[in-house]
Amino acid sequence: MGQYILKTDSVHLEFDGRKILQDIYLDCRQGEVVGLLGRNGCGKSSLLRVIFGSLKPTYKHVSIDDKHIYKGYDDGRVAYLPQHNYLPQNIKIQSLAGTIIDPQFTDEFTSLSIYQDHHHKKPGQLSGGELRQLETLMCIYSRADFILLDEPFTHVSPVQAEMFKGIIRKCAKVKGIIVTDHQYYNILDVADRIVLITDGSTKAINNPDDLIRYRYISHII
Amino acid sequence: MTINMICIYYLFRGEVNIVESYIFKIMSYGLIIGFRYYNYNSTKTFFYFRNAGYGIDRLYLYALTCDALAYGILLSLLKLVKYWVSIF
Repeated sequence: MGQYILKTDSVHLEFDGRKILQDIYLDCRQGEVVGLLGRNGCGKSSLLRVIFGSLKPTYKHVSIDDKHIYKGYDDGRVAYLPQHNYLPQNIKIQSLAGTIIDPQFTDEFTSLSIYQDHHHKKPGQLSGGELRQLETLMCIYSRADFILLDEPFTHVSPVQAEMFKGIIRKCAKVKGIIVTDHQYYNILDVADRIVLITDGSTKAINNPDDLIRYRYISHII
Repeated sequence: MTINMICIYYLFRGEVNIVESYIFKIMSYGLIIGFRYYNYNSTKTFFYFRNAGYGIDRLYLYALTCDALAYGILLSLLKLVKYWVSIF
C-alpha cells in the first residue's frame, strides 16, 4: 500500500463577511495522527468539513498525492466523524457496519463488546453514550484512507477515551488521521504532531509551550 | 411505492393518463427531495452515506431512476394483465 498524503492549502472561508479561515496549510500522511487545536469558533470543524467536502468555501485546494480532489468523500477517500449523531435510526447496526467498515478491520471491529452487544439493534434503540461510541468506532474503522475526527473524546468517559486512543494509533499505521478536540491533553497524547488554528491561519506546534505562547492555554496540565 | 400505487389507481380509473401520472410522480420526487434537504435530522444522516463513499445527489439520482423504471415496468405488466383479462 502506498503512503498517500492529504494536503489542504489556501482555504478561504467566510460567514456573513467575517473571515474564518484565510491562511491554511494542513497535510497528513498515511501512518500519522495530526492533532488540530484551536479556540471555540476558530474554524476547526469548518476546516474538517471543507476537506471532507460537505462545506463549500470561497476557495480551497485539497489534494491526495498531489491529485486535486473536489469532495473528499467521493470514492470513499475521506471519512468524517461529525459532532452530531449521523447513523440512520431505523437500519440495523450490523447492516450499517457492513457497508462502512474496512475489511482488514472487520474481525477487530466485530469483536468489540459494543458491537457484540448491539449489532442486532437499531441506532434509535441505543443510549446517547453507546451510540456516540459506536459512531466514533465505525468512523475510525471505516474504509477511507483518511479519517477526520471532530471531537471524538467529548462526552465519553476516560476509559473509553483511552480505548479510542489505542484504536486511533493502531488504525493510523495504515491511515492518515486528523483529530480535533477541546480535551487538548488527549490530543497531545495521541497525535504525532500538532497544528493550531489561530486568527484564521494554521501554526505548527513544536512543543506544548507554543500553545501557551499562542494563548491557546494558560498552563500545561 | 405508495405514490406508485396511487398513480396506478387513478390511471386505471381513467382519471389521469400515463403522461400525467409521470408528471405527478416527478412532483412527488421534488417533495421528497425538498423534505429531506430541509429536515434537519435527515441531513445529519447524509454523513453516514458520504462516509460509505456515496454522494447524496448520486444516491437520489439512482434511487429515483430505479423508482421511475419500476413504475414503468409495473404499469406495463398491469396493462398487459388487463388486456389479457379483457380477451379471455
